Parts: sequence; C-alpha cells; structure tokens
Amino acid sequence: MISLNQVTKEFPGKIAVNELTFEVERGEFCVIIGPSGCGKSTTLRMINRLIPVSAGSITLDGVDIYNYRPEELRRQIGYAIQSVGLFPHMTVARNIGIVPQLMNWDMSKIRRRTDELLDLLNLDPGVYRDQYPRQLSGGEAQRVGVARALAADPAILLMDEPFGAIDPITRESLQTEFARIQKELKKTIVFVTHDIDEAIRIATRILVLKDGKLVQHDTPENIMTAPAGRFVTEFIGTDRALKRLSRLPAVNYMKEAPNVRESDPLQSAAGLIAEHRYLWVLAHDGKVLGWLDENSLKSGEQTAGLAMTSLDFRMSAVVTDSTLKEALSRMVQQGIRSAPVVDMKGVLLGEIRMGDILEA
Amino acid sequence: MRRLFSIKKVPFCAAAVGLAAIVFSGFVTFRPNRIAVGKAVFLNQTLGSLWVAIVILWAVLILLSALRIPGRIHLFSTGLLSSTLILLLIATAARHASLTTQDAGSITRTSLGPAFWILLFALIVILTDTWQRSGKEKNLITIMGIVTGGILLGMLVSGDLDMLSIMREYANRKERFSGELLTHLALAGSSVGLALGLGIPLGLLAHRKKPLYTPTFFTLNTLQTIPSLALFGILIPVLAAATLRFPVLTDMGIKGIGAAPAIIVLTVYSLLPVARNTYIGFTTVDPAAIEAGTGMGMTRSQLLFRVEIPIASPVILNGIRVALVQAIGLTAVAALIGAGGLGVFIFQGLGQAANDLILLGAIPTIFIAVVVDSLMGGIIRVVQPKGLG
Repeated sequence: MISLNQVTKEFPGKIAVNELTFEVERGEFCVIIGPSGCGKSTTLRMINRLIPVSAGSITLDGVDIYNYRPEELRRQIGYAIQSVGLFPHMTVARNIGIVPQLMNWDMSKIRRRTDELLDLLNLDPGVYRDQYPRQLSGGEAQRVGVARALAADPAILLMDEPFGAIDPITRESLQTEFARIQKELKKTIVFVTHDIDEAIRIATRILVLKDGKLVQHDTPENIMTAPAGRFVTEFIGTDRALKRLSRLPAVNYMKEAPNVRESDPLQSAAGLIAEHRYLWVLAHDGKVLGWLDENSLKSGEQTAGLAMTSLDFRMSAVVTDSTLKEALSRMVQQGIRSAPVVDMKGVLLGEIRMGDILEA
Repeated sequence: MRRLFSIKKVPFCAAAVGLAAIVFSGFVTFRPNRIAVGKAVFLNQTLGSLWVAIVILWAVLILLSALRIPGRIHLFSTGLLSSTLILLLIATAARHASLTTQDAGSITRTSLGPAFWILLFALIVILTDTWQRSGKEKNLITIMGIVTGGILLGMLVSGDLDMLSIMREYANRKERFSGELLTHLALAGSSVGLALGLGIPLGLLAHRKKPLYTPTFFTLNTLQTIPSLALFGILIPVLAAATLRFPVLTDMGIKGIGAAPAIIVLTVYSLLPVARNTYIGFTTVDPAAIEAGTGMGMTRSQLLFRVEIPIASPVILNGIRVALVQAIGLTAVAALIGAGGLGVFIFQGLGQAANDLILLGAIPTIFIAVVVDSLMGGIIRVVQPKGLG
C-alpha cells in the first residue's frame, strides 16, 4: 500500500504539489490525471524519490520511503516513462535484465525471466532477445520498457505516460494488453496520463489533480456519474456518457436472440417475426448469416436462408469482449437497432439492443 | 568505347599527376657535397635500369584506372601494383645513390627529388582510395600494406638504402636518433597522458555542471589559438621565475627550458580535444536513459560506468586520437626550447641548410603520427558498442 500524507513539493517560486493526501491499495490501478503542470509527474517521481518531498510523508506498507537508501527503494519499484530510455548499447535482453543484474541474480535466472517477460508482452524472445533498441519500433520499445520495469518482479509499478509517444492504434492495443497483464500480475500501479480515455479504460481508481491539489479521487464510474465540480466535468468532456460505456462489458447486457436455421421453411418463422419483428438466421453450425423481418416474408422464397437479408458478422456483430461503447458504435455505423453478439468464430450467443444501451 | 573504359577519378588523376611529375621534374637530386646546390636527375637518367620498370608499371597503372575491370580484380591489381611501385621507387633511388657514390666519390650526396615525392604521394592516394573502396576485401588490402611495410623495413635494415643522403645523415647520428625518437615518444605520450587525467574530468564536469561549460571551453579554445612557438616562449621566463622563487622546483628538475615547459605546452594543447570530446560524448547519452536508470535504482557510479562511459567512449577515444596526432606533430617544435625529440634534427637541418637532415626529423614524425592514427582508428572500431552507430 502506498500512502501519501500531506505531501507538498515546492520548487523555487512555485508550489507544484500542495498538501496531497491519498492512498493506493495493494493491487489497485491508480491513474493520476490532470492538465499539464498539475503536478502529476512530480507526485509520481516523489514516490521513488527522483524528486525529494518538501513536506509531508510517503510510506510503502507503513514504512517511510526515506528509511530506505534511494537505490534500495527504487529497486523494489518498477519505473517506466514515456521516453522509455532504453540503453542503446545493450541488447533488449540486457536492458530487461539490468535490475536483476544489479540485484545479483544468477545468469540463468535472468535469462529465464527475460524470455518470460518478452513472452508476456507479446514479443517473440527468439526474435527480440538480441536486438538493439535502435532496431525497434516505437511500440516495441515501449513494450521492452514495460518489461524492464517488471523485471525484478516489483510489487509496485510507477508509469509516467508510458504509452504517450506512440500512435493511437498501437496505444490502444497496448492499453488493452496491459490491462490483461495487470489482471494476471495484480501489481500496485500508479500511472500518470493526461488522456482521460486512457484513464477510464484502464484505471480502477482515478485521481484528478489541478494546480497540485487533489480534486477528486474515485472509481472511473463514480467520476463519470458524479464529477466533483466544473473542472472535472469539463475535463471528462461532453461525451462522458459515451466514455462511461467504454467501462461496461457488452456481454452483461446481452439478451437471448430469436433465431431460425437457414434451411428452415420460411413459413415457420412467421410466428416469431410477428412476435419479435425480426429474427437472426443461422447456419447449421450456429454462425450468424443474416436476418428476417416482415418484408422477407413477402419474398415468396421457400427457406429462411433464401429470404434473409445477409450480414457479415465481422462488420455488424459484437464480439464477446467488446464494451458497450463498441457495440453502440457498430449499431450506429450499420444503422441497426439491435446487434448479434457472437464468439470469435461468428456463432450467435445472443443480441444486444439499442434500448438497453441507452438505459445502461 | 563505353564498354571498354570506365575512368575511376581518384586513381586516374593521381596517376596522371605522377606522369607529369616524371616528365617535368627531377626524380633525385645530385649534390657534389652535403650542402652544395643540387642538380636534378630525371627518372630516365637514373643509373641502373630499374627506372624502365617504373615507367612500364606506371603506364599499366594509368590503364588500370581507366579500363572497365570487375571490382575485385581491379582492387587487387591496383593494390598490388601500387605497393610494388612504392618499393620500386625507393629501390631505384637507392640504387642510383649507391652507383653514384661509387662513380663520383663518397662526398657526393643523392637526395630524393620532387618527382619521387609526387609519385610516392600519388601512390599513397591510390592505395588509400583502393582501401576505402575495398569493402569486404579490406583485410586483403591491409595485409598488402603490411607486407609492403615489412619489405621496406627489410630494405632499411639490410643497408640497401644506406647511400641515400637521408640515410647518411642518419648514419652520422645513429645514437642520437634512437635517443631523440624515444624522447619524442615520451614527451608526446606523457603530455597526452596528463591531458587525459585532466581533460576527461574537465569534460565530465562541464557536462554535469552546465555553468562551468562556458568558462572551461572559452579558456581551452583561447589557449588553442595561441601559436605554439609563442606559448613555448612565454613559459621560459615564467618557469625560470618560478624556479627562483621556489627552489624546490629546481630540485625536481624543472627549468625554464627542457622537458618541463614542453610537457606543459603539449598538455595544454591536448586538453581541448580530450575535454571537448568527453563533453560531447557525454551529451550524446539520452537524458531519458539516465532518468530510467536512476529510477530503476542504479547508483551514480553504476550509471557512469555501465551506461554513460560505454556510450561516450567512441567519441572520447576520437578526441584522444586527435590529441595524440596533434601532440606528435607539436613535439617537433618542442626541440626549440631544448626538450629534445625528433625536432632536433629538423632545427639542425634548418640551421645547416641540409634538407635531408630536416627530413630525418620530419619523416619519422609523420610516420609515427600516421601509425598512431590508424592504430587508434582500429581500437575505436573494436571498442565501439554494437548497438551504436
């Protein structure tokens, strides 16, 4: 547990952090957010003593951080930054192994750990182990940076906009991946960003800072539903309702979906259509092929498969690990009021309706 | 025509200049005695018939530089031809010298003439160019150069060159020469050593404490602009006064002239390249790497030795390389204030109007500088961390 008590940082002529008090529980993913100059990086860097505190105290599991030698303290805390800072003269493996090496692990253990971390971050050890940083893309370098921060298996991770310098698509996939890794590792993470979408996507708690002062410290859901004052409201932006949807898993709002097989006679579907207004048409293996409505009944075809309006599940369906925001986005894009929920193979699991999303 | 010819500019121009030198200037210079006015002897007038081989091979060299020949064969033949020609030039001059001495008596002198030097220079240019273009074949050309050097050394030791004027100057000063050579190396080496001890911390300090940058480099740059002769001159009264004031200095062997002022001046000149390259080397280290390293729990010295120095080392070594080459050259001037070194022969030669004596000081100085430069180049290539550059 990280605990800050009345922490203040004063630079000449400026108070960067002002009597800040908060706690980060074990296993929590705490995102500190705020506009530039709000003191978020300063706060982070006080926790591993890269910046000395002017007043107040910081404790780790009850022990004041000033009771440790700085190196001793930092070696139990992983640290990843936006500019990564890989050592250009060392291979990827040696970069990752630097802290274990400082802690005198034996070589075979370091090698095992390095490969394990490369695997964890989806970098093939056989390919990347012996590469040099200049051979890596921005996204790959960030992954190596995160792997390096995790190397000595610290209980705490400090991350200063670690995905800030990469393109939006890579960034989003890294966020998703990192959220998965965090589920597995259960680290205590303090993560600084100025990107509210990123904060909402990955945080278990968000801490909003303004001019070095704490404005709100709460779960993403509460921050969105009950923002503390104008500053937070404006910071979240006018699309906060949409942002909130990105926290909600689509499967939780899934309903049972009426369906027929493509080989079924069209007439057998009439009753269900009268009841539901539409039906999903499935192949014999359960994959979604299309849908039927009243107009389809007038087509005069024999089977459901011939009468249906076909759809491509890759375009119109919602996959199981989507969020409500993604589901809504699909529906708006395709102009449909209800979308089938499918697994990776396209097999129908249920459906999700516009009305349910609006009520969520 | 296009298929047959493909002119390689550098070798072709060098070979053409060499041809002009053969036609228009003397290959060796004949003097009835050591300091008499010389008379040019053209290549075709040299005694012994080796000159015929030079003319023929030179024609082949020009052809080689103009014909379209596959890369590897061209590199190899040009390298071999140039090396052979270098040895032939020296052998021709030496043979002419010994035949002349037999005919006209041992008081006569045969010096190397303008054509010799121009041809030699042209061949070195061609060899360097070949070496640079050789890519994968680099080692082969390097070996060729080493073999040539070995044969040259053999000729030198065996006495084949003894009748050349420069070698006769050497013969008269055999003892002195090896002594001055060692002095020269010691002066240059110890000053660069001192400059390392001072310059590297200075460069590091200027990097760590930015306010120190301007005063440090302003001083070093200013010192560098003072002509070496003037600096040597200034130090004589200063040191002399200091020894009068503090007699302990005299006990330590420090005087206004001699090794002490020489080492001081040479150290001062070596400081700038060492300190500047140290500074630049450390600035090439990404501040993010330092922050990440510190944040991960590396100590100041771990960062210095595992991150900063390895990254900065190629640039620092290049500074040492410049300092060494510069110091070897400048040490020649130190002879003027009685410090010894190969400059002794240069200044004696100037005083006696004996060109070959000047060369006896100058050629080894150049040779040492070139050898040290390429040695350092090799070291830098080996030391350079793989992930950089």
